[in-house]
Amino acid sequence: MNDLLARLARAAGVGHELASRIDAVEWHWARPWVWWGGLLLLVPLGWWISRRHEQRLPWLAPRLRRALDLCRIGVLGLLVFVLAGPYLRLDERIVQKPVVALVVDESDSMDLPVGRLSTSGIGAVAGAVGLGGQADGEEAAAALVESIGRLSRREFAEQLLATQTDGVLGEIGSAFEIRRYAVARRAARRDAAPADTSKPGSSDPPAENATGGGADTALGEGIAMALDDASDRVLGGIILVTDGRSTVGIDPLDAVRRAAEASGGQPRAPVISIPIGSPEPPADIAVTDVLAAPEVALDDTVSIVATVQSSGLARRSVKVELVDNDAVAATVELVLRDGRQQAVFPWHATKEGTSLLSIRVAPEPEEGTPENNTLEFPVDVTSRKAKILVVDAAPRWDLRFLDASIRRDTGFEPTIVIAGAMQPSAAGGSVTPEGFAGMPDDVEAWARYDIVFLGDVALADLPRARQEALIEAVLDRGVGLVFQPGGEHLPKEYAGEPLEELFPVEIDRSAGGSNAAIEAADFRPFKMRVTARGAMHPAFAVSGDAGRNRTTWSGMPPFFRVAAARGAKLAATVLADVERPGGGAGGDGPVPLVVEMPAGRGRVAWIGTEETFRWRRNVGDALFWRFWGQALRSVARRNDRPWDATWLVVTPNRCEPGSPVFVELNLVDADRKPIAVAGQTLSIDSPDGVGGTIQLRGASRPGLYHGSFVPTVAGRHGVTLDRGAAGGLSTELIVAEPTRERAHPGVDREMLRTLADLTAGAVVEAGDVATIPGRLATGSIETRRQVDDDIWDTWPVLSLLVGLYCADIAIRRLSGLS
Amino acid sequence: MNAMRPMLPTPSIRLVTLAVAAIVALVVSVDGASGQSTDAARAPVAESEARELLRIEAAVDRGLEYLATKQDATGSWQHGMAQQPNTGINALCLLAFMGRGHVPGRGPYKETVGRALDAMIAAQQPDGLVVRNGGNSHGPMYEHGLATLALIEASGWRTDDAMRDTCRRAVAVIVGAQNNEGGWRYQPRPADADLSVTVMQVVALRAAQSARYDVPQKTLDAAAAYIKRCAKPEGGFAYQPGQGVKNAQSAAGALSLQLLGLYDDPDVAKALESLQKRDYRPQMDEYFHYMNYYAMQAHFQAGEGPWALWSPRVRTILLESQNADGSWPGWGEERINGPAKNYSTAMGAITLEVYMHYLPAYQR
Repeated sequence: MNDLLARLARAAGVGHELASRIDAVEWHWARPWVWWGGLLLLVPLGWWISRRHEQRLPWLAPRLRRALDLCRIGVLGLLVFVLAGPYLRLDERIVQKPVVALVVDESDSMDLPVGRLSTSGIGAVAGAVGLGGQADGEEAAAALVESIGRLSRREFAEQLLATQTDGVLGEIGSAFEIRRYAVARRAARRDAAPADTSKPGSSDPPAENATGGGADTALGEGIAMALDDASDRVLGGIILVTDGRSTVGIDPLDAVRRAAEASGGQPRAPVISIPIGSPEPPADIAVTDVLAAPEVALDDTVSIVATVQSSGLARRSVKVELVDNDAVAATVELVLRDGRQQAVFPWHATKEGTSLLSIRVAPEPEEGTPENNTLEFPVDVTSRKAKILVVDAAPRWDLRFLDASIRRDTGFEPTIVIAGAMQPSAAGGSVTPEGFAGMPDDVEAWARYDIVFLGDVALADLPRARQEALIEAVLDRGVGLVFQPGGEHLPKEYAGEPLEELFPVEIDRSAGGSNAAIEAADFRPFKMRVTARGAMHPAFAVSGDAGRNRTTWSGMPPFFRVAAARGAKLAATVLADVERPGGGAGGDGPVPLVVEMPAGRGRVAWIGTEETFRWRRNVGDALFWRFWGQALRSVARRNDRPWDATWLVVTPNRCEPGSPVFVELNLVDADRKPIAVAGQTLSIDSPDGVGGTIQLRGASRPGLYHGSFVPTVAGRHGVTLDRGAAGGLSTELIVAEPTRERAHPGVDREMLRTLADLTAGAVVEAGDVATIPGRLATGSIETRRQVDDDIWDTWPVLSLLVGLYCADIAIRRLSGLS
Repeated sequence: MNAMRPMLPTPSIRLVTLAVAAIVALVVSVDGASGQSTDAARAPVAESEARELLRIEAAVDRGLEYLATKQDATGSWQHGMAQQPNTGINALCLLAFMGRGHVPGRGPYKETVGRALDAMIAAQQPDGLVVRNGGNSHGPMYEHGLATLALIEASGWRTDDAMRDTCRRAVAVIVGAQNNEGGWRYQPRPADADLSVTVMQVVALRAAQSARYDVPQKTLDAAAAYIKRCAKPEGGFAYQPGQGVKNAQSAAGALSLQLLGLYDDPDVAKALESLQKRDYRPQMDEYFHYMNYYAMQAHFQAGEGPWALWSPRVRTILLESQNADGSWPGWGEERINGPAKNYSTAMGAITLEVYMHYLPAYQR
């Protein structure tokens, strides 16, 4: 009946929304007094019309006269109807159920086995995952523990959710709206958003393959997404089905803390975690990290430090091996204790080129995850040794740390000079390095070095003639130049000096008063932000994933002073910057912090802070030297990449799928003259055979081209430039899947418990899932919705009016009236 | 065709709807912004370690807040039963601030640090000795060794010629006061020696060398020889050659040899092992803070294994024992340092700051 009414209403011109809810629709008058008054008036008017027709048209047949009466009265009636403004109203109260977000971990670590669960309560666990086994007696319980322990965490979670569809999830679904999310490398909504009936077709489509693969777990992002999505709703809780280890993106604890801050300090919703996996750490040995110089000198012996993490195998003695080309190069014996241990290997670089090394520990019989016992890493061996001259005005902290690090790296032959100490003071004494004849005065003297590092050097130590010689050494002899300005001398004393042309940045001389530096507010220090290009630069590429590189470096401790740069010069590339105090109200953008620029045959780098020592915090010593070692190397004069030769370089040359790489091509003709055109096209051979091309654009110097691309599959990629008759020019890129997800096979219950503590939530074992509905926050949002629809301007009213009018005319014509 | 009727209460409903939408939009945008900043705040260390480091930093920050409130107008901190300023204590407080990255001229404590540094420079005597009372205290070389270390570390940030001369003269006093055995004693002249005073001079000289001040190699070699004479065959170091092993001296002796480049010296390993065998608690040495300070540095210098073994013990005790006002208890050392907790608080902070790796003198 309602369907019929709805169809009729739609046919009569009533709007779709009201017609579909016709049973709940009410009739109203905008001006009811017009309607009722009009109806009352119609009675005497009808009588008067009828009387008048009887008097004036007595010859007309009574039937026609009555028809004419009805037409006239009908038109008047319609007038009253229209003037009274009839409309339909849908007035309903909508009760929105609270939302429960179900966040399921789909990362690779979920492929690990569940492991050994406790026999107590194993029956409840079995029931929860639909195995339905009996746990009466020790043997039966042990058998259940065994069979459940062999399941992968993914199977366990899927079976749990499938079994509870009509159970716990059904119970929750009756009182809550369940929104499903999946987390892996990214978080994604797994179900369609509820349809908004006011905007047909506005709901999001289901997210398919939107989690970007299982190489990471963005648990924090999943929580943040669930919180954001339910920002206008009551959020009854967030149920996490996970092994608890978040490896990328927002820290889960930060996500809930921020939500609580936005809610006036109260937890936004309880986070209830169902940990998937054994509470006992699995018997496991993992090589989690290797610290090795990415580039070492030929015939040098370097230290390689491997971090080995173990659990459940304490006091076991194992051999950790450094493997070079399938041969064991060194072995360290470790007596395991639960936690992290380090093994240090000497490695002698005997062959030039890229060596693919690995650290491996033979798997113990109890291990369920033997694949994390090996970690591969490449080391570039080069016969180059860079001679570096480091000059500073004072023993700044950065210089003291750089001094120690640079001496340990056999790829450098350093000469370190404190310029201020070269001037004997009244108290006597000066320190100059052995064999150092003094600051270079001519081009030849500067060009003896591959790199020159200038700290806060006073203009008095670099008079104009020395500067000009240095500039020539950089532009014509390819010497690399690194500036690390300070507050006293450089850059403030160099206004208008020749050296200023080599600064990769424009100095803002209006900032910082006398020291050409920008100070951060005491309680709002600068945070370094690595740019997209910076994340691919060797100085910042600590892993094969550009996103992780940016996150790692952006998390470095903040600092308080930065050289006052207005912006980078046109030819320069900004690798890192900081937010300008005041947000750049004057129209200036961020302050460039780490900048690189080609200059003639050389390269110049600018490190705009003298507080990189802060990066050493806790485990940061290696990051400090990683940055400086690679930053220095990247500008060093390189005989293998001269500007008058053709070469092609991909950095980093080893990365993870989905992480961008930077391609640099220098192209010269047979006469060694740069080939300068708008761009170059390179072909890419990928292991999946799809291949593709990459467009490089002309960079800041003739013959130099830059571009980037994102490999999507693991394996060796070839990048080739077809030069026709001159032959192809190619280089190789190794794309490897990360092993992070399997490096820590234990369930991170500590993090899940902290989440629960912060949100008044809980960690609920699989056997106790029935308690979850009682832990969810209740409450609903009730809203009232009114939709009005005029019905006086519909086509039936118009048709009736036109019909009455036509009938009136027809009767008059038929009767011979005018 | 759908039309809200003006005479009905729809306008107010419309307003309410708009207001709700605006509030929702505001909430969503606020959440979005916070998400970005949290993403950028991730550290490259494991989460539990990161959380532990945050606890340590918070404890150090509370300690520094306490010290900042105790600094007097001259830039000094009270010390001893007589509550007099002492350059040794001032140096420890200054090192505590710098060890957390509060270096001269930077950050929220720049005035505190600047005043302390000015007071230290002003305390230098014409002969180069950095003591406030003209060198008449019982152990001016204790004060001078610590003050020289603090000055040299600060000279990385205050780089003028006067500062460099101050440091150079302070270093010259140490070099000139070494006795013929290679050690130092309380007074700034060559006489007898003990390991406790010697270690402070060695740390200062290594810092000076790192900062490229002129430190004769023969001075360092002689110091190493003296320290080795204090080593005991059974493991550990004595206050003076021929005496018994003391925990504080074992820590100091091990660190001294490490800083002098003798990382693989068997006396270092034996000393650390002897410390590790002891029941670690505040009563293990009458100078617990002193021992803690050197033992923490020595275990850090010894590498990952010894560090992983030792640092959690120290961290646990220091985090659990910190007073509500940010200070650390004296554990008996009040008998020397007086009721003011400036010494113990500075030592507590410096000991935990080994996690920061900021002070160049202690780089590995």
